[in-house]
Amino acid sequence: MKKITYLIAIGVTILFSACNKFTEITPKGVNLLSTVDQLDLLLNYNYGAQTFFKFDDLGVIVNDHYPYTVNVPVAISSPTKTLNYAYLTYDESVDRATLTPSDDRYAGMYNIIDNIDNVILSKADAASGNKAKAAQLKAEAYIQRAYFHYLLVNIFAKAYNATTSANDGGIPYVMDNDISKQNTKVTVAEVYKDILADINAAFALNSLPDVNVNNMRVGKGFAYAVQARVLLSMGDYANALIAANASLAINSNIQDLRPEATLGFAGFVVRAPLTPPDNLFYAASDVAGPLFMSFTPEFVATYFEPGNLFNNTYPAGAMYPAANPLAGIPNSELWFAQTFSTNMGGLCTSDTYFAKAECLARRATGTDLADATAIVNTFRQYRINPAVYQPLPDATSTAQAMGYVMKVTQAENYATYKNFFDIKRWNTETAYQQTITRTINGVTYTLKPNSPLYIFPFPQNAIAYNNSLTQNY
Amino acid sequence: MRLTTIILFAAFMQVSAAGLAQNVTLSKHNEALKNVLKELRRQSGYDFVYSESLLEKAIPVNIDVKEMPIEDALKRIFGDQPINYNVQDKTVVLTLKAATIQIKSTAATDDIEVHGKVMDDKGVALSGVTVTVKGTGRKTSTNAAGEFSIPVQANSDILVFTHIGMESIEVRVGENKDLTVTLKSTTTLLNEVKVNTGFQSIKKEQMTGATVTVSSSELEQRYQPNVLNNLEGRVPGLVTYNGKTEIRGVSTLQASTAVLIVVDGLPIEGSIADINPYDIESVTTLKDAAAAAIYGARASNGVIVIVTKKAKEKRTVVEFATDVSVTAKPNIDFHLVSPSQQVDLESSYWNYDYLSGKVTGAVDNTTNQINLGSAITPVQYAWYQYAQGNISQTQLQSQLNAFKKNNFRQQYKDNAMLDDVLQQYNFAIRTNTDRLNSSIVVNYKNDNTGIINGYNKQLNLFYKGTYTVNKWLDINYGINTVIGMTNASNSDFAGSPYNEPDYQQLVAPNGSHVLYTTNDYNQYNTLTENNPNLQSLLVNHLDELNLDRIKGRSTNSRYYVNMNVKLLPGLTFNPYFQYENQQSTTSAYSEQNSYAYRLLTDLYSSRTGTDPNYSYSDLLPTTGGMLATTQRTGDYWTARGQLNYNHDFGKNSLSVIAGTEFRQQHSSGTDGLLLGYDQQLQSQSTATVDFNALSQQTIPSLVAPGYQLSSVYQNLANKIGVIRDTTNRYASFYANASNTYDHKYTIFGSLRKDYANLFGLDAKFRGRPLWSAGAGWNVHNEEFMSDVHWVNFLKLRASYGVTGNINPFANSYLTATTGTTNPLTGLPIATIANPANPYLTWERTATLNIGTDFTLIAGRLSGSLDWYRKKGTDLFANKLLDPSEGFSNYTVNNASMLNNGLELSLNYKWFNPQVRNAFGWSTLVIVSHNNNKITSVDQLATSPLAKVEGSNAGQENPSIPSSYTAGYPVNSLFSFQYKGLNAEGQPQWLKADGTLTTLALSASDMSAVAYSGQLDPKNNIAVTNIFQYKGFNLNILMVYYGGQSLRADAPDVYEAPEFGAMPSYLLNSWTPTNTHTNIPGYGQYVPPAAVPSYYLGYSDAFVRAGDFIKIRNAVLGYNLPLATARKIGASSVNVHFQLNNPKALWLKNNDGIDPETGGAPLPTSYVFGLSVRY
Repeated sequence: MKKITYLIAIGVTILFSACNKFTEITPKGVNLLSTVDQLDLLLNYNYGAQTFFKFDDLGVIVNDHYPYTVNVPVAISSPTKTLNYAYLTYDESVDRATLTPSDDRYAGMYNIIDNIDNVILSKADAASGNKAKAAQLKAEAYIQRAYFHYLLVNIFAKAYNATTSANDGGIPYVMDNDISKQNTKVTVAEVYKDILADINAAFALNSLPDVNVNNMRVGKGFAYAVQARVLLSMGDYANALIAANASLAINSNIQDLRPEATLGFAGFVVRAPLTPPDNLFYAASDVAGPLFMSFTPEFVATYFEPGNLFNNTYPAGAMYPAANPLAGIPNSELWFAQTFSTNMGGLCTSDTYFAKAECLARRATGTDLADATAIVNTFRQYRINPAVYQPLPDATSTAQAMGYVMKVTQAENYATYKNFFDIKRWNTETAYQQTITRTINGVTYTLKPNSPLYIFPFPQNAIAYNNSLTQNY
Repeated sequence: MRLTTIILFAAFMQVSAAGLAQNVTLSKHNEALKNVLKELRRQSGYDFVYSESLLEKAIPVNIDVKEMPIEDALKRIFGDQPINYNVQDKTVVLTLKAATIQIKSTAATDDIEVHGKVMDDKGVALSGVTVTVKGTGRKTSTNAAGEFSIPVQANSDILVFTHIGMESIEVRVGENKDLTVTLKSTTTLLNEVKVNTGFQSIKKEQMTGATVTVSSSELEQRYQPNVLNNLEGRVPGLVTYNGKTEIRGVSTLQASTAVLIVVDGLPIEGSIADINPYDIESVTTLKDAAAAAIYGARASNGVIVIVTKKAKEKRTVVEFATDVSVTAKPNIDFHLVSPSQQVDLESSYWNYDYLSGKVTGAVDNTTNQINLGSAITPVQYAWYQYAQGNISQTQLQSQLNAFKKNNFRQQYKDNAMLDDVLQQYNFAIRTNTDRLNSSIVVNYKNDNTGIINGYNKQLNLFYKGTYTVNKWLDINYGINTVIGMTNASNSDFAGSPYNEPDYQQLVAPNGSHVLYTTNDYNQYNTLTENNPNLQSLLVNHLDELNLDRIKGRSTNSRYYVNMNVKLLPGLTFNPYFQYENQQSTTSAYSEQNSYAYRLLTDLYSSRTGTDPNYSYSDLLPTTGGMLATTQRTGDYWTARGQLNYNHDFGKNSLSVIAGTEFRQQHSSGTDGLLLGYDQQLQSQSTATVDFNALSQQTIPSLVAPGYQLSSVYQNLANKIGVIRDTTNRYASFYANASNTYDHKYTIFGSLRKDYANLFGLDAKFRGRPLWSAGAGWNVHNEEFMSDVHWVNFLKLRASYGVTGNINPFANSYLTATTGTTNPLTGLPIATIANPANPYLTWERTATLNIGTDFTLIAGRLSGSLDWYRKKGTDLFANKLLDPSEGFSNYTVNNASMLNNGLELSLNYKWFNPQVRNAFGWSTLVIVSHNNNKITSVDQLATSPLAKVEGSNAGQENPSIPSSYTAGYPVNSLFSFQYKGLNAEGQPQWLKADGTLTTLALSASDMSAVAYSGQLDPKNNIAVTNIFQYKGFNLNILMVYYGGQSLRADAPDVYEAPEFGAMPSYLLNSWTPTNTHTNIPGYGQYVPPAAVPSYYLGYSDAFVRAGDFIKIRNAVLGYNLPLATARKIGASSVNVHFQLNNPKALWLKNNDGIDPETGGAPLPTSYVFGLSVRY
């Protein structure tokens, strides 16, 4: 009897393993992500047509422009208090969290992190194929993961502040693609620590190409630029300068708009989406941005110097040649250049130049202030009609140089996340804090430097399924 | 008499299929008969059925034979015994021998001699039937030919016929002294004592699960090409409604809802519709877990076990049957305006458009449309001519009057449609010899599909057999091939009469085909007609039904072999193997002159130069047409090994099976396209076509500039492709055991573990054990019931168990989709479409079933009653996620559901006829009640529209219905609350705050979406009445379906007449004077503001109750008297006439909408049939 029991036991065990083995098969017709070349395809993602690379609401908060195709007086007077109402009137009492059932940016960027970067990082080592290529893919993924977390933390959390960031609530730093494991929110300090770790991990692989495959792939120029922007945000200006210089050593191109001022090119300013040589990494909601954006009169008056070529209307410029029909604000201007593809969510050489200029302005030793002024003047020269262009005199103080840098940065970076990020960053320092005001129909609305409006609410569809996500304001 | 006391199965005689030995060797002296039988059984594999009391009358046996055929040995053994024996199949039934000598000695001199023949209900002669003259001791028994003769004293005497396994009947002698008596097998007796689950045959007595078996004799009462439809009204809990078959309600959200079909022991991949309806011996529906859990992960939706026929009698039987069914043409005018109404409706609009002065530029606009090639109706053109002054009012009127006399749909019905004739022929030869039991069955079916040039033909060939190698080995094998051929219209429009204005003429009075345009173009633009470089765009439906055809061909083959190996007493081993192969191809040939191809070449024609020196070029070949082909292959195999053990000890009867099953499904296919194809010349010029150039075209340069060539190109490109090569594998092992004590108490348990490649990176989820347990109590076998004579059979049973289900589309592997390209970089992209999900597991459906089966009042009343509670957990559904996981939702085991129900089956024999000439009437009532409710699911709809549509267009997974809501049935209808038209004729809906709106609702109005019923019927009652008299029988099935709803006749907003048929509700549309209506205004009275899309269609006002009562069919049959049948050499001949789907007896909705079609009533059909058996 015992023998029989043993036999049955052995038989059943064999059957168990036979069943398991029999049902181990590899499906056809799907990318199994098991080779380097298969993983490579993930990085061909089209970053140029993702709605979440549109940063309209950020620009509304810092008063670059009005909400997209919204009649402003109607939005303010409507009995329903929308998000646009809160951004337009700087009303902090509006329950923004409730009005945010979902957030494209949150979903979209984490989608890239989880389904491109983390997949590559988890699979590249085991993937068959060229090991050097595998290392390159991993380095690209590290940089991307660092970059998109950098964007997310600056949208959903406080700006980095060395004294408080260890206690400031941040965002989840997602390093796995296990859907069953909750992504726990960590502090701002931890997020930045992870970002730097990822950047360092990428450089440690020593496999990024100097020049990227195309402007939607990561190369060394972009990697150093990301490092520069992150260090700048952390107030580590010395290292930020090193990183910015490293990036500029690879790519120092700047788009020169002056030929278009004289030629009247296609009627409007022109910039291709992917190929401009000053693009370090291209990401945008669509190639025709920021079509139909209504600039506020305050922005135009403060940042667009006379002769600014963007501010021109047909035949050379970007603005609608008649009164703005959309915003309901008579003296606002409407961007109408479908031919201009702003790099809304990526980085250009302007970002490394401005990082460098700011670091120089802050260091202010030797020729630093003159060098910073030179960078600012280069950009002004390329943006302002040569007929009226006058170079700024060399700055003589950090404050003056910072003033130059802040102004030229703002003028360059409308329709991106960058003005929002910079103002939020500068607001952590008393010297560079800004109180933003806007006037609509005679009423002036004020945005305090420490306003919670600088921190976006986590969307409802995230909070409901992640109990670590408490709002950061 | 209580049956089980007379049928006692000998302890060792439970092996289901005994082997057969030709010869036996016996040497016994004064041995008890019982022991001799035991020895016989051991040597021969024959089973013996007898009562203990019978054996008490046996005398000791003396026999000494060597290698004697068993028939002879039996003759010798029973020669002296007061016991008769009758061999049926491999079972020997023993009965008490009537003492004929005694009869003779008591026979009175004035006796009348009555003689006759006794048969079973299949016409097989019954020997050993005891015939007793009631009230006297006089008795005899029938001989081997079933014949008897017995003297009686008066015509009023009553003869009683009794036979084991048959219902006893009494027959009054009457004038006729030559009786033909038919005995029916009793439901609880031999023939149906076993329930076939596909894995084993379980004695009804031991069964603890809820099952219903329908035998061939019931199925043959009416003709249905698909056996599933023949189960309507026979199986409580099985509901086929609108083409969907459900056993005990829906039990899944995203996984398969298909009922598992098992044929001759193994699940099949082929369609149940392909199973030859004439070749079915029995259909058993397994409903609860105790019955179905042995099928494990595929049993959640219930199991239907089909056993095909095999030869029964020891001779060659030839069967022939044919049924011809004729279905009337459907009503194609249902809820549509007549030609004359349509002319008036259009006229009222064009009069307003061109002549009221309220519309500016109407004439210019039309001129422009004609040039653009937009659709223009003939009535519009007449008014356009009139508005320009090209024709007079009289001419206009006479044109309009002429239009009113046409009737496109009627002409279409007369010229294109046919009465649908379905012919089916079945021919079977079955032989049963000692060693070989084989059947050859040929079935041919031809359907003209109700339209000219169409057909659907099917040839079904089945050869099967059982070969007895020796006493311990039987081999079963079969080859079944089903060849299908179809021919149907491939045209986008020619198969429908609704896409032309009804006042268009199809056929001229002289019989010629009238040419006109479709809504692609208009006949008043003459560019294509006058230009030899372009193809004409005029068309006629009847021509197109010739020129644009799709032919299909399919071959489904099934090969199987299985064995029954007797290893030890009580222990058998059954290996099974089955291979199925499915091949199907279609070829759609649009000839050069077909409209589809003419239009295509015109769309891709362009010209250069200036008038009149144009030069034309074509991107597509202009000689030859287009051939689009598809090819699909499926290979499936199943292998199973199973051990069966049966052992009786003391009063216990134990039965155990254990086995393992491996299974693979593999499918693949390709699609291809030939351009410039000429079938006659067998030439093609696809290689000359520049597909890249085709893909670059955006709008046509010459013809119909409104066309979007990107979608035309996409259609062409989609005809070339690969069907993903897919392999799925399943493995499982299973066991079950049941023990019955003293024929009273049964306990049962089963266990199964399934593995599939589809799931589980995590090993612990890959195989999930599924189990069931049941108990049964045969109350009628209790001592205290021995005096309750009106109870013949009473069983109480209860079961609980868990079955599973799978979603083959849910995948736990992390994979990326391929095939797209980044438009900016031109590089190929891979995208992760689903997260890695290692926790996927089987869906679980736990069923509790409590039921009873009973036979009362001497078999007059029988039936069953079941209550069940079916709880589905771990059902596949979308689970919402923090989007930082990379997805905002994914498919996982995340929903639960509850089905509660009650099932009743009652059969009452009002008059139980014993002879052909007597009147019989029986009634079968089947009641099924099901209450379905989702108990938990994530609400996916984010807007009211998404909820009512039940679709997530634009969401991550648009195929997952977003209407699933906890607390409501799976197939729920949710609707906007329509509050009619306001004073301006604008439709308005209720908002969440109780106010009305004419605009689309926003996400905050979710609570304004109302539940408006379920699509599946809650209640189903079927009543079958069977009358018989003098060989005639009448079988009427009446059905009630209730508790379901449907959307029907929801109005659209018609801003202007449309090119095609127009709905009759427009006649009652809103006008300033007709304000008591729900229908928005038409033409000049359209609502002033845009009506939100889909809001009318999904309004509660247009949800109709789906309850109805119909006579499903009535069959009048006649069985020729045996004597007549004999004259043509047949043993039985039956002719029958069947009426299907006459006008509904009652519809709950007031609009005459047939809930089974959503519109016009199901067409009535008539079946004429004949079956002959030799």
